[in-house]
Amino acid sequence: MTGVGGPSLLAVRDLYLDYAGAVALGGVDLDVLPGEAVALVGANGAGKSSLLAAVAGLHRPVRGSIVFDGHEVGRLAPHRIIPLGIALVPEGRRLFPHLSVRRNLLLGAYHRRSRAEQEEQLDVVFDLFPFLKERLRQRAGTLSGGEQQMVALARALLGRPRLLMLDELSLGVAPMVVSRMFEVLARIRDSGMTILLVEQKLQLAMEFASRAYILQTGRVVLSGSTAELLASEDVRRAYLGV
Amino acid sequence: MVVTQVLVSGLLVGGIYALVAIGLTLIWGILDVINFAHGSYVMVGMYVAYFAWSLLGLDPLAALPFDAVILGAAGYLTYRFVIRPVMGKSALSQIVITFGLLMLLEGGAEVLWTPNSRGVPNPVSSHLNVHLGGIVLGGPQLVGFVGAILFTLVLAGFINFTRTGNALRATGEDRMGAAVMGINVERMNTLAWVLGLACTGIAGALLMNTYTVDPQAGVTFGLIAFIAVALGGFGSVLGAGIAGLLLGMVQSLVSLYASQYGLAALVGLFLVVILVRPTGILGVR
Ligand SMILES: Nc1ncnc2c1ncn2[C@@H]1O[C@H](COP(=O)(O)OP(=O)(O)OP(=O)(O)O)[C@@H](O)[C@H]1O
Ligand SMILES: [Mg+2]
Repeated sequence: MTGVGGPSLLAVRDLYLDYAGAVALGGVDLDVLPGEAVALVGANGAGKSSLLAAVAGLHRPVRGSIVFDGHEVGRLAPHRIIPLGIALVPEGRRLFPHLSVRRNLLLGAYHRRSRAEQEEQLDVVFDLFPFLKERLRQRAGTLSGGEQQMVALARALLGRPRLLMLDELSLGVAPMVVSRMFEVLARIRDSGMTILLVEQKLQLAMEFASRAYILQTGRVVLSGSTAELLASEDVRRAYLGV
Repeated sequence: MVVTQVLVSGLLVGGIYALVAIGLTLIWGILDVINFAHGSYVMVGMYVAYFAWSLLGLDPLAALPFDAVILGAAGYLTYRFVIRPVMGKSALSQIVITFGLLMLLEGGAEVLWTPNSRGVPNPVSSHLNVHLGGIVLGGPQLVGFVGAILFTLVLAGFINFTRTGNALRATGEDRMGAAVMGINVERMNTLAWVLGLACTGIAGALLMNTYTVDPQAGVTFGLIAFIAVALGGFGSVLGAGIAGLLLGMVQSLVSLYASQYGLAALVGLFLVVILVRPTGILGVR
């Protein structure tokens, strides 16, 4: 536990993952404390998406452990992990393009059977993204890239997760829309949501999160508070390029 | 008058084509697997109804629920032991395996039940002829149509308006997206096969009111279902249903003028559609 106190909501230990022999993660340790916003940064192919996917159960690690809220989830299938309170907005959004926005949203609450709870949570996301209300009947695939990304985010929130994992929300989204999205995200963060964020736009990620991990070819090469990392001239030059 | 009669008869047969096609499109849409053995399962469904009559004295209509359950179970077994091992493998291996199933089922039927064709004489439905204006709606055909349409509606309702149905559609749209929602994708795959083959069981029972069965009896239905799915837009339940009805009418109409060419006309139509609009004419979901 590198400089992190208290019980972690998510604790990744010595995690190894490979794709048919090609190493994607080579012994990653990472903690996310309750209520924290943590950024995961690194070059293309560093293994950021692979780490989030492993936590959600989409890929089975070859070694190591993933503990969420006291449960070992490293070898569980997604349909066992997601109901524990994890939501992932995956790379490329992965909406259901021919289904209506409403159905997309409600599928985010698939594992929460209570109808009343779903309706209540719909109101919460309408409050965050008012435009959704007018788009409920529209097919998700007909929305603009930015709108789709917001549907993906809203859909993840519908399951009332305790850990929200976001994979490159800004990809393919106009800069104006990105900053609006991050305003909403800040509201979500400030309401106490625990967030693990992967983001190519480094400045954005470092400003948003309180701590960060820098990943390089499947390993954590540096971690610490974002203020510390940004303060170090060497770190900025070597890893952040900012 | 003759043409109307022919169109109506075609529509009635088309109901069953629609049902068979919907089973095929369900499996296709959700798993991206083409079940080349689909027609063979219709044949098995017909034998189930035949033996329910010859061994137990059950009318095909009474056998229908059992037929659905038995073929649904066959769907479970097929997915679990034959299809699942090739999921995520090349399209070619999937084609080969379902084509192998076709040969296995037809060969098996021939060995077990001989190549002779068999029928159920005098089913209850044959006493239900309806005269409407100058048109005769044959009882067995009418019952087949109504049964097929009813089951199609039930299935469409399930897929569109239930929580599990939505999960099924989501799985068809994006497997990874579905998994991230906490949907048990494996279970949805299984369900698609169970429902898809239950359709062939029901179709088999309904067909035994009109047709005789032999080991090759499913070939035509499999082919027509495939064409209906292509016309309707791959994976589209509504499209396959409508296309099934249309194909019944086209086949019946062509047969009126050139009795040998009904099926050939459908294949021709299929080629034209594939060349002109590969996403299907209806292209709806
Ligand atoms: N499905 C896959 N099959 C094989 N190799 C993969 C697969 N997905 C990722 N990889 C490889 O695993 C490594 C880590 O990929 P990953 O997608 O996790 O990186 P990333 O940090 O998210 O990159 P990016 O910034 O491009 O999204 C890369 O070398 C990548 O090529
Ligand atoms: Mg990535």
